[in-house]
Amino acid sequence: MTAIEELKKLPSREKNSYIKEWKGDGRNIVGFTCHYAPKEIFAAAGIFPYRLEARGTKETGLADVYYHRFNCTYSRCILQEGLSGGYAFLDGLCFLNGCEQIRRMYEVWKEHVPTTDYQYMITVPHSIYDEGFEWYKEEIFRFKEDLTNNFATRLTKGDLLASIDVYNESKRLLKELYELRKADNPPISGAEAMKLIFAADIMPREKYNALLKEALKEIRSREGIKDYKARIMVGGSPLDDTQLIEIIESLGGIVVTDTLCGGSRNFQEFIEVEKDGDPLEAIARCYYYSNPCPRMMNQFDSRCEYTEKMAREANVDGTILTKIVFCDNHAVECTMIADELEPKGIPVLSLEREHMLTDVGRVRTRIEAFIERISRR
Amino acid sequence: MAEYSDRKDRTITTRWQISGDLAKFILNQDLTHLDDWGGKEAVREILPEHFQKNFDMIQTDLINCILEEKNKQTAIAFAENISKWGEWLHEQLDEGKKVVYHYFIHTIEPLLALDFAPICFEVLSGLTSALYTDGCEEGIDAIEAEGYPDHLCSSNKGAAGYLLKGYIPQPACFLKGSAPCDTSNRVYEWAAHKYKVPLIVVEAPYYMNERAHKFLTEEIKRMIVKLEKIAGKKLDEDKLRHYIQLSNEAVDYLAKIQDLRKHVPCPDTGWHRPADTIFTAQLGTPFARDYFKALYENVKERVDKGQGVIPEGKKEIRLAWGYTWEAFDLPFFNWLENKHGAIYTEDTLTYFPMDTEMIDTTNMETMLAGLGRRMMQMPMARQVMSFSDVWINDFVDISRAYKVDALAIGGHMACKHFWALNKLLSDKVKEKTGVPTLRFEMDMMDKRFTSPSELKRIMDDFFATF
Repeated sequence: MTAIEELKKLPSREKNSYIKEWKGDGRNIVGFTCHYAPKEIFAAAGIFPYRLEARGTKETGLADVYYHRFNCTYSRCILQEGLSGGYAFLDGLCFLNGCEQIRRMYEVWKEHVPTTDYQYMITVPHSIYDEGFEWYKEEIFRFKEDLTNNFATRLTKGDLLASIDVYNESKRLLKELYELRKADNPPISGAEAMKLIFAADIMPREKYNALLKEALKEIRSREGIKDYKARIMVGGSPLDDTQLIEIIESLGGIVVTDTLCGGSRNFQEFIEVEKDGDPLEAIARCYYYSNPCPRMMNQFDSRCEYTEKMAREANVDGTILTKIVFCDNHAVECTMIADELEPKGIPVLSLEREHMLTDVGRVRTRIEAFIERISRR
Repeated sequence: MAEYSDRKDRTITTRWQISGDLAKFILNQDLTHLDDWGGKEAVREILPEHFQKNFDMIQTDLINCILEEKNKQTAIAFAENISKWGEWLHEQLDEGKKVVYHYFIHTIEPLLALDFAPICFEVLSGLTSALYTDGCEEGIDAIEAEGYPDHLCSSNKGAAGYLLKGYIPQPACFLKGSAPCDTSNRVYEWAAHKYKVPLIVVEAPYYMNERAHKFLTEEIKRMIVKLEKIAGKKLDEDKLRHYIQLSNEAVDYLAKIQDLRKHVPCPDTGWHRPADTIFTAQLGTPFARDYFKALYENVKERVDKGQGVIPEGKKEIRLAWGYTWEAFDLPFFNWLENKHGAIYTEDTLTYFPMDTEMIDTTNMETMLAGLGRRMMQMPMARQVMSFSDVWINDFVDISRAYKVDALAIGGHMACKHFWALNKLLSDKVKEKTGVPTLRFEMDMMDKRFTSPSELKRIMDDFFATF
C-alpha cells in the first residue's frame, strides 16, 4: 500500500490500525474537541491526541435524547459517536469552550459516556489580548499538571521541545501540500488532499510525518489535473468528511485551498521557542494568538484578511462557505465575509448544510449554479 | 401633555414613553376591562389624540390584564418606569450624551457615572415584543433580510434590525460580556463592524470561583479605561458610588421579593416577570429602584394580609420556570393563574442567588470587586457562563425553597447551550427533588415561532395530566 493509500483510509475509525496498535502497547489516547487544544502537550506526555470526529455518522437517535434539534448536527453526531461506543477506545477527553454546543457536551459525556474516565475542560477567552493570554496560559499550565498527574507520566522540557519539533515538521509538510495545490494544474484533488490533512489529527504524529513525506514525493511526480471548470476554496463550519468536496469536484470544481479549522488554520504558525524560553508558554502563545476562529471577538478583520489571502494565493475563482444549520458562529461569519469578499471580486456561495450531508439535491443544485457562475470554461 | 420626540432614531424609545403615559392614563380610569366601556374601539374614541396611534399598537389582552385589580399596582409601577425612563433617555440624547448599547448582563453604574446614555440592546426587542401586537418582528425581519439566519436570538435580531431601520440612535460603542452566548457575540461583532464603532468585550470567565472573580474585576477595570477614552473623561468615584447605591437598593428589594415569593399562597403575580428582567438591565437608575420598591410593597402587603393571587377556590400550583418566559404574551402568566391556579415562583432570567451580596461602596476597589461579583450573579449570566451544575443546583435549591410543584422549562429556540443541557436539568431536578418537568420550544420574542394559543394548549395538556 502506498503512503497516500495508507493515509486516505485513516478517516475511517474502524480501519485506523494506529488506534489498536497504540492501545495494544498499553499507551493512552485522549480525545480533544477544538483547535485550541494544545496537542504538543498530549504528545509530549506520551499520549496520542485524537481529534473527535463523526465521519460517516448515519443518525443521531441516541444524542437526540440529550441534545435537541436546535443543536447543530456536528455536535449531535459527535455525541452520538460517544453514546454509541464509537469512542470507547479513549482513555480521556479534553473539552474546550470553543462553542456553546460543544462545551455543554462536557457534562452529558461525563454522565452518560462512562467509558471515558478522564475529562478536562480548558477555557479560552473570547478575544485576543495580553491579559486573556495570561488566562489561557494558566489554563494550559493547569491542564499539563492535571494530565500528567492523571496518567502518571513525566513531562520534561526536552519532551516538550521534541514534541514541538514533530508538530512543526507536520506543519512544514502540510504547507508543502498546500503549495502543490496552488499549481495551475494541481497534482491532487481537493477530496484526496483533505483525507491526507484529516489524518494528521487521528494518528500518531511521527508516523504521520513519515507517511506524508512519502506521499508528497508521489504527489510531486503526478501529472496535474487540467479538466476543471473552477478553482474553489472552502470554509465555514467544521468539516471532517470529504463528501461535500466530492460533490464540488463531481460538478467540475476543484478545491485548491480552505480556511477550515481542521484544514489550513491548523498549521499556519510554527511554535518558536526562544533560547532558554519556556516551551509550554510558547505552545500557549502560538495557539492563542494565531488564526482566530469566529468565536473570537474583535477579530473579524483578521479572519477576513486571512480568507482573502488564502483565496488570492490559490488563485481561486470562488469560495464556498458552508454553515451547519444552528451554527451561530459560522452563520454570521459566512454572511459577513461574503459581504466583504464579493465587492473585492471574490465570488462567494454561502451554503447551509448539515454535518451528515443530507438534502444533497439542493446542495448539488446550488453548487452547480455557483460553478456555472464562476466557470473558466 | 408630555413632549414626544418625532425623531426617527427615537421611534422605539418614544413609542415606549407614550405607551407608559397611555397606560397610566388608562389605569387612572375606573375600568376593570376594556369591555366595561364598550371594547377597544369605544375606549379609543375617548383617548386624547396623541395616545390613539399607540393604543392601536398595544396588545388588547395586555390592557385587560393590567386592568385586573391584582395587577394594577404593578402595572402603575411598570408604566411609570417606561414613561420616565424614555423621558430621561431623550434628555440625555438632547444633551449630546453618547449612546452605549450594552448586553443585559452588564449593570450600568459605570456607564451612568461616565455620562453615557446606556441602552440595553436586548431590551429593545424584549419590551417592544411585550407591548405591541406586532412585537419586534419588523426588526427581526430587517436583519434576516440581510442574510442572517433565523436561528439567531430574536433579542439581538430585533435590535439589530432597528439599527438597520434607523429606529434607534447611532452607537458610540457596544459593550458585551463574552458569555453567554455565541449568537449575541456574533451579532454585537456584526453591529460594531457595520457601524464602525468599538466593541468593548468584557471576558466572562468560565468558572464560579475566586480566580474567575479576580479576573472579572480586572476586566471591569480594563472596560472602564476603554470607556473613559470614548467618554473623554475619568470615572468619578462619588458618581459611581451614587449609582451603585441605587443599584444596591434595587437588588435589596429584588432579594426581599424573591424571599416573599416562598410564601404559600404565593403573593406575587406572574405577568410582570419578563418585565422584571428588562428592568434589571436598568440597575443603577432610580427607575429600577422605584419599580422594584413598588413591587416589593405590593407583594409585602399581600403577605401581611395572607393573600394569594389565584382565584378563590382554586388550588395553587407552584410553578418555577427553569429557563425563559415568552416576552410576547405577558397576559399568559395571568391566564395561568386564573385558569389553572398556576403561580410563578422563580425563573432563570430574574433569579439572583439567595446569598446575593450588596456591593461595598467603601472605595473604588471594593466597588469594582462588587461589580465583578454582581456580573457573575446576574440572572442568566450566572447559569449560562459556567458548567451545568450551577444551573442545575440553582433549580434544585429553588424547587425546595419555593415548594415547587412543577418545573416548566420553556426553551428559547436560539439558546443552543440550553438545548444541550435541558435533559440533564430536567433529569437532575426530578432525581433530587421529585419535581416533574415540562419542556417545550418557543422563541421568547417572536410569537410566529410558537404562537400564544399553542403555548396555552401545551399548558392545558400538561395540567390535564398533572
